Amino acid sequence: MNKFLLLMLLLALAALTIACVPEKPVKDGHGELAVVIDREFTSPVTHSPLDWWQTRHFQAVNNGDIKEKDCLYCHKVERSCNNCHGYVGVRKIVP
Amino acid sequence: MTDAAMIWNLLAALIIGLGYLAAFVFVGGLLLRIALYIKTPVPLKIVQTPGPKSAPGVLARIAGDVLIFPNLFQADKLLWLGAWIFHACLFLILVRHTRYFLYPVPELVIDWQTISVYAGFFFPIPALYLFWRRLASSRVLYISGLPDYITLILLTAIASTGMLVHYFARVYLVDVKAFTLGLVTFAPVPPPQHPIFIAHFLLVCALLIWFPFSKLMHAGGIFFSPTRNQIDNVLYPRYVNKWNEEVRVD
Repeated sequence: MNKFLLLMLLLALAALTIACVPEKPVKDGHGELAVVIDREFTSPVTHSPLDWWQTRHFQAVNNGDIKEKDCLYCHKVERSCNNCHGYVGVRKIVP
Repeated sequence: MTDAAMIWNLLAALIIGLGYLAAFVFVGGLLLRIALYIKTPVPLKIVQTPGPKSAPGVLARIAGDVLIFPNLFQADKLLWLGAWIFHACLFLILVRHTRYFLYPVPELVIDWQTISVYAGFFFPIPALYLFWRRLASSRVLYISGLPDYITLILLTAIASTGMLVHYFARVYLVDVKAFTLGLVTFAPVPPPQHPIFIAHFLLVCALLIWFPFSKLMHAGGIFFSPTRNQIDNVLYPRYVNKWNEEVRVD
């Protein structure tokens, strides 16, 4: 009986864990972490190709090529910075 | 579906299957080994002197063994330094890697971002020192076997591929997190199409499979070592071995 209860508890915990996991943040995607940037802003040339920029933008900031505050002209911190940063567990941007 | 997509899907399924196999062997092997440690008879007090006189003393001794390796410090200062830095870096890196398996990520793990970056840079140095020591010292070379080298080679290769995907051939972390969370929640998604990341992942799988059958089990065995986890009270209570035959003395 105790083993059955323990198994049920583990299954419930597993189900809860699965239910709590959101969709990964994707630009114009779905879910609570979707990356949304207002349509009025066009993507600057530095962001191309996007795959490269997504993985390297922190180096541009660390090297001083751009300033963090410059990103915030187009990016809303909660909708297109910290949703990704929180998802992968890196330092959050403070506006 | 193109041939390339079909091959990729097949490869992704193999990688995911290997990930689950490695996790199964690791957890199952670990539990089996610990069960073996628990079941092993310890019929005598063999506490290493000077021994602790109480349970909190035993806790303090084992905590000391785990955190600062005092016996190694007395034996070999240089080896102690290399081993301590190696383990400290490994600990920081492992804690930092929990961000790939947890959502939301704990604040502590986020706060350790910078220090774990340095740990990642530094980790191969003590690993290479431990490897060099096995080859350079004739006494250590004599008692070293293939498993000793396999462990160090695996750890160094994992660290090297980890550094490559973090700094030089960067992988998109969002895809990595989606992949690892998918594995943890039994809703797997294909891994990022990044050869070095896949190499890193496969090496970790190899280490997980290797772990329960290797000397890496010292990580769990240290808590079950009777010379370290016994209370030095041999002269105080009367100790009767449970499986001694009864002797009639009338």
